[in-house]
Amino acid sequence: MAQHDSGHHEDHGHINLEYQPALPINNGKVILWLFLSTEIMFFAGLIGTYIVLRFGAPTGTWPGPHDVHVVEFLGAFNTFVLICSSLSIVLAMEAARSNKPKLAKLWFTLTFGLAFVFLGVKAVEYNSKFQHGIFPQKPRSKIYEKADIYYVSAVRTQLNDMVTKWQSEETELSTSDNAKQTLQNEQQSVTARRDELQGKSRRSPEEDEELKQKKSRLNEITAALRTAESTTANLGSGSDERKARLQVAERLLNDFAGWTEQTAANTEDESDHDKIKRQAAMEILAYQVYPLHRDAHAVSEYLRWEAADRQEETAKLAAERADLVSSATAPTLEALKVVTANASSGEAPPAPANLAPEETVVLERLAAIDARLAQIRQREESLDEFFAVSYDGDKHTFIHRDESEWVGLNEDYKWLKLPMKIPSGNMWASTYFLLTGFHALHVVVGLIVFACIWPLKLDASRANMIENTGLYWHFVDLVWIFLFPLLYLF
Amino acid sequence: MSHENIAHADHPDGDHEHGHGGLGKYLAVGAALGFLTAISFLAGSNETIMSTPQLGWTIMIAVSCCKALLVMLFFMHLIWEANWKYVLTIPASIMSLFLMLMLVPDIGLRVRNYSEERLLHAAKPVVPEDHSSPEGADADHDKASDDPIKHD
Repeated sequence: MAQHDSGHHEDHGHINLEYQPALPINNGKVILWLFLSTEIMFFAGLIGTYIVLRFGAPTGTWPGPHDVHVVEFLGAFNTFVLICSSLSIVLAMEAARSNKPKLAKLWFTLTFGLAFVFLGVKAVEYNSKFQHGIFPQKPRSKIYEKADIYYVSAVRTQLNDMVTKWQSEETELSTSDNAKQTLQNEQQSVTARRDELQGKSRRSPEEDEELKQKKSRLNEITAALRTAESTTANLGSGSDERKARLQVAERLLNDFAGWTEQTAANTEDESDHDKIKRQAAMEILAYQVYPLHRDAHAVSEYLRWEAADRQEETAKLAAERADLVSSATAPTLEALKVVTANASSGEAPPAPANLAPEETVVLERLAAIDARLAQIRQREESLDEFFAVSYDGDKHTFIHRDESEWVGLNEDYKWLKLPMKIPSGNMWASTYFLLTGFHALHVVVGLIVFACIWPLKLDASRANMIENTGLYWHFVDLVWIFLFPLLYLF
Repeated sequence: MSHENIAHADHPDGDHEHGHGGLGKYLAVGAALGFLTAISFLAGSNETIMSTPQLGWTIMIAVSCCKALLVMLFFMHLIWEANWKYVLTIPASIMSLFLMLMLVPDIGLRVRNYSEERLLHAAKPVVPEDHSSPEGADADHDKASDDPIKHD
């Protein structure tokens, strides 16, 4: 600065220049701009990394907005909300500058309210993702990159765990019901005997001994009854619900996951054709659990293949069966009836009949054919019950029996929560929640600052304070301006 | 140093920071921002534009940059600030560019260098064209979708 330039007159030889110790802005603003420049780098880092990860993902795999329950409209609405709040805070500053505290308070309150609206919409959006099991987590814990054998076995394992757990609970419940019945019967008889003994005016020593025993037995029975009753109460309350779920889970386990796993693991034929068929089976399962719009067309094709294959196999097996039956001996057919009866009632393997070795071979083949035919029939029944869809080629979607769009088993049965195939879904969740989370955190900080300023009188002396708050708030808006298209529209 | 003096130093015309801004200007900027948001929303959900996603992405990024500029220049008053604004904004912005450029070779192009094992678990799109005739699947596709069972 120029204080030391040669000068004249009364000011100790200094020219009367204005001394400027810093930037031509107030200190608060300097600090805020310094802070904002670190913020620019912070968000540039986040957004830059997101862009690189998103476009570096295997081509054509990044989930579209609807694959992960992103609603573009909500994003656009939130953008608009933030723009309005930016505008209102700038107007609050203008009003404060012209010393109109009431008007300034009005604009400031509006900004405050809009920030809450933004966070409210954000909460709704987060919730819809959490409800569908989409949040950052270990890869392949819920979200699978592709429909491979690991995916199918994860689905099967989960269904199997459900079925095992519920079955054992049902068994426990019926056991405890039976035990309760027995105990109650015993209680009655023991009580009767005890009363009889007690009623006697004179008891022999043996009878005294018996009475003692009966009393202690009664105590035991009461304790056991209490345990049984609490078990019944615990397990019995949700029994109907559990039975219904068990039925669904069993069907899905056998006719969806089990069927798919069997098809996918069938490596008898190593031709390319067969490999693709195996892949197709897994894609169908993934689509049934959690449909991705972009897969619909391929899956419609796969379903046609599967139907054709089933038909072909059924025809072939039926022909073979007819052949075998026509040439089979009477005892073989008799034995087959027993085998079939046993198989349908789910009992242990059939008792070996007194058959000749050739007859046994024929019997085994016939039983195998029957089992496979039954499996195919069940698959078809389950498809009809749980996945009654038709493909709408124009819209590239599957339409459900009730004319709604197919939304997946996970949506039809909310308790299922089966693993989902969302290619690049884990990376999507991590980046989405990191970016929007940090942004939301900034909104929260903004809210805290607003809350601190709000009680003050917003006259001209506070104009700088509002301006600095505004600078921060505009920056929050600025970040969202980039996040909205990148996260909702790309 | 008093406020008056700062304002004077900033605005020698002595107009006390009322020379810029103004309700009309802010409202116009606000309207422009709303309009631009509508454009990027339409570009993002318009199937004709998004049939070539690159076009949609370019439009949306351009719109976002315009909006960012509008906010910074008018709402954050950068257009009326002295030259110190460049000291703070330009180095910080360079970071954003270089970070992306530096990440591209090994993160952006990471899929090109995936090992067989990494590829085994990598996401892959379902490509119906390749499957429409199972016999005619090309070798390239087969490599990408190699059956995991074989590796077990």
